Amino acid sequence: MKVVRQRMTKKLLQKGASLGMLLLSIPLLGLLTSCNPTELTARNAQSNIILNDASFDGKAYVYKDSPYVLAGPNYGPSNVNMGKLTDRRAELITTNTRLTGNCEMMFFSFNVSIPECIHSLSKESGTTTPVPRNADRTYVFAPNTPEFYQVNALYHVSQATQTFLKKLSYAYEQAQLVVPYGEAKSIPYYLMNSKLFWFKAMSSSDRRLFNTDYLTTYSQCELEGNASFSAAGPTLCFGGIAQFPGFYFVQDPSVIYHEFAHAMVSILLNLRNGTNASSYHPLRSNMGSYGYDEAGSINEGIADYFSFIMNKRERFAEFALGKTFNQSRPLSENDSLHSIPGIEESSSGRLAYPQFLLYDPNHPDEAVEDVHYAGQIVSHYMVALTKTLKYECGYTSDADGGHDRATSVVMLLLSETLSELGDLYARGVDDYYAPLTAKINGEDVFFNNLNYNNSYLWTHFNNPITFRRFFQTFGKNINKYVSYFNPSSPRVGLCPSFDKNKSERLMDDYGLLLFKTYNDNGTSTTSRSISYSTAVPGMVHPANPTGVSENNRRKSILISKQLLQLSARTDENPSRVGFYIVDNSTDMEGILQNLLYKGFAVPISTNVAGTEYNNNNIKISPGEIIAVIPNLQNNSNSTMAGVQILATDWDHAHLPSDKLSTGHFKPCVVDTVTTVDQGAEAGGSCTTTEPDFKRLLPNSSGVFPATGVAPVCMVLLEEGESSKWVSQHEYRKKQGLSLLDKDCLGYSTTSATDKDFAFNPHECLVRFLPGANSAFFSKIDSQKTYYETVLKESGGSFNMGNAMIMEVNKWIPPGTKFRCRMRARFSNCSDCYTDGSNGNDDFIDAEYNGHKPFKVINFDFDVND
Amino acid sequence: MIKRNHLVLFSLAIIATVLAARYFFRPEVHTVQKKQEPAQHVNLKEDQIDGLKKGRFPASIPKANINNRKAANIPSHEWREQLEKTLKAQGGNSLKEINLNKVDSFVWSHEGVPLHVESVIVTLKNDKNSVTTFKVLVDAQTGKILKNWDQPVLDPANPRHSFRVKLDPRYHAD
Repeated sequence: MKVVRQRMTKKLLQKGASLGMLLLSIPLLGLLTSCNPTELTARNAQSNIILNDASFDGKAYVYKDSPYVLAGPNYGPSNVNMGKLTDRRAELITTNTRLTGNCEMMFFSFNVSIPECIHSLSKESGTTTPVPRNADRTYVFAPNTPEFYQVNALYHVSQATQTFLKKLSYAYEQAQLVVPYGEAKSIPYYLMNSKLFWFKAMSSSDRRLFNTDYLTTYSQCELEGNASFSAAGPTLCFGGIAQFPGFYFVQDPSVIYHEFAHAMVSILLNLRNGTNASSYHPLRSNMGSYGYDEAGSINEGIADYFSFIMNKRERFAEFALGKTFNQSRPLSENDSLHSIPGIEESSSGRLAYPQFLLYDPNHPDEAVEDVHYAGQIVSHYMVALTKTLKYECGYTSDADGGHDRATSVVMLLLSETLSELGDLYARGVDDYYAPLTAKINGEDVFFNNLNYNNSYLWTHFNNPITFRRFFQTFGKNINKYVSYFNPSSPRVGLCPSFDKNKSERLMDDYGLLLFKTYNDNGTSTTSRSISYSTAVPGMVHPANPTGVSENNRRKSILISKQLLQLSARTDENPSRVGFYIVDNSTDMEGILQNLLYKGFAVPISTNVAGTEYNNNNIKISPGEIIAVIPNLQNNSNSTMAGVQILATDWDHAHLPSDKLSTGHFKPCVVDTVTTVDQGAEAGGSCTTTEPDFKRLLPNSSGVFPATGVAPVCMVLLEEGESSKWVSQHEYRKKQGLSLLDKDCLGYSTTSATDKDFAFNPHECLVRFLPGANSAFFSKIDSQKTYYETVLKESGGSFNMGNAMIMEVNKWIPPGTKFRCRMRARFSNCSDCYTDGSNGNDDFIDAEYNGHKPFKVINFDFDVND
Repeated sequence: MIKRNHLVLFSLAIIATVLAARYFFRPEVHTVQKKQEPAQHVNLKEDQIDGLKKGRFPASIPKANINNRKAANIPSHEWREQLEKTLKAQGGNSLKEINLNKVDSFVWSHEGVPLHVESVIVTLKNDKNSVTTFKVLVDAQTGKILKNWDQPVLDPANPRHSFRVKLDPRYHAD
């Protein structure tokens, strides 16, 4: 290895040394330095290498950690000079001739590679061509320059990629190894063909899933105060903070690992969503929405945990978040950031759900609803699990103390869990070594997320990833891959000494034992009589779902959904409110813009509603676009958590056979609020749940189907002495309205046609906007409302996850009464997920089309000027 | 002790099984691809329904059903203009640039109604030069947004500074 440092040559030149002397000195100095390459100091890193005998090809000096770690906790975020913190040894950045990285993954002994799978750039508005290698074939650039940060970003992203793909390779092998035993697994055998282990499912230019088929890293992007991952790019973006000149998120590698982990989660969720390079699901699964929700919290927790995988430190972003806004996050109870007495690595001292959902360790007295804080429960559990596996499985004698092996096991569990939950093909299982194509009675059969066409709706809304669903699946995979031991089976799990009881107790320490069974009996999404083994002969699974040992449930408290209700004003609580309304135009425009920049474009109706009609009277008036924030109340003696309310269409209407031509449906009796006397129906199709998600829309002959799902909002039709709840479609034709389709909400036309086949006449008058029709609430304390638990504590402000957006048709006559039948449930619910009549087996997916898993919440209102 | 012996025996058995499994795994790598369904790209005849353009069904849809499945709408070049209008209506004055990148066209069963749709990557830039990218599925006739996905995941330095809206003070004047 021969290296000559520019600093030395400069001195020689300054002394007027001749060119000959200089040339003579080069090999000499090179020889000296080659004796001890660690002679290269960080200061040397600021110089250019002027001679490279190929041993420095593709290399550069990089910072291995953040200034907080390398320069000490007092190093501030202003005028950061990373040049002083680079490592002595040059590291390989890439073997490519420009700043791009390659991906490789082993599938047993097969190596599948994707060249240039990562591109490192500076910012979105800059060049799209990666920086080429220097003339000396190195990537050494002056410190703190854009090129320097691009090099460092590529180095750390490549490190993260290699770690991820190595662990995914391990997970892939472990998953395939259960197949000979006839057991179901989620990571597909055909992953090597689909190449969905990276963002590269499609190679054809006219059919793609992403803007580019590589991951782009913007090391100094124009994003104030944020770092981000965008799946549509896919891109990683590391911004800066204006008040700290010279500071960039990219200076803290733990943030790079965190953002990369969001990319990893995106990949893992979609592992099953393609079968080869040209057969794929057109949608992709995601975790997280436009505000607080549990899927987003889990995503953040996993991302924090990945930082621990990479650097073994039990604290995240000490520099980038800690030194800027005092927002560094601990990853274990052992961390000194926890100042509350009693938080410790013991059964009783864990960061438990739901108690710590709003917990900011840096400001423990303030409650803030945010996915990053809630995610700490997940990261702490994952780190605790890793530590437990190390000593339970005897990994501690490894050179690294068992870190690599234990984290590989956790990554196996994560890979299996996420790929199952995000499965949009909705099969949930493969035909041994190929995608499942079997049919039952000539019909496709699905075992996960309802079916191919509605899987996105199911896994994001109707049966979304929550703490309950995630940890139920995660626990199932612990039982299968880690704890498994059966004297009558030749298969043994990776670590049988970490048995089911130990797993359940650790989960319970974190309050995450939120399920009664592991739902591992493989039933189809529409029928309990069809299971994995019906579709794949020879496949083994329990006839009944494996139960949780109730003795292990000490902290995870389950509550009946009957104890959830809409808040109401009482004598004792005269200020309680059922729904908060936001109808001032400035706030609503801000909300809509914020939604858009978070990637939630909503199909606002034109002509019949708009914020220009908003009158700021905190009531619902014709033409307005408003935000609705339900204020739910917990009547139990324990905290409810993960409360979700849905205003999506569901099966709550009956279309009598004599009304198929008009589509005038009757609401089903689903509670004591809407009765037969008020026009509701108790029999007919109300006694069953529609197994598919099809709307009550007319076919080309104008005939409505006998069954289907309906929008949540009905209207009160008053005819003489009688009043009854009817569909908006029926109402708009009566009451002297005679509204045409074009005067309805959600109706779109073009110059070529006045037909809109995506239009639903049953939501002509009021509707919750698609994409903004569900809300999420972290927790509601015992005997309190959501306002009293969270909003009041946070100064009366809500986050976007709490709100639903509603449009009101400007043609509605004042005084018109509406009832919107929303459905609510929560994660620690005892009767929202399991069916007592079926041995506490989970509801099958089709049942999430109806009311059984939910508490129906009626939102009654008048429209008035 | 018995348990340990069991473990040893079972470990030997599993090693043998694993070796056998690996033996069978390798040659199947290529045969698996043959077993898989080929991508089902179905070019519909344009005379099946007035104005119907070439469409493509997702691979999982049974072939037998494809011929019976006619999209209700008629693709129109206006979808792009209509989508832009919708985005502008939502983004208001803060919206500086819109870039629509169509990546796919196919027939999709939207809540039970088969529709020609466009899969589009939307890239927006606001007046602060912040860029956001996500995907939408739109009706190929009207440009109406049917679904959004692949939204960005944002990690602010201070989550307390995230966008929040204050409740109207009239609700809790006390």
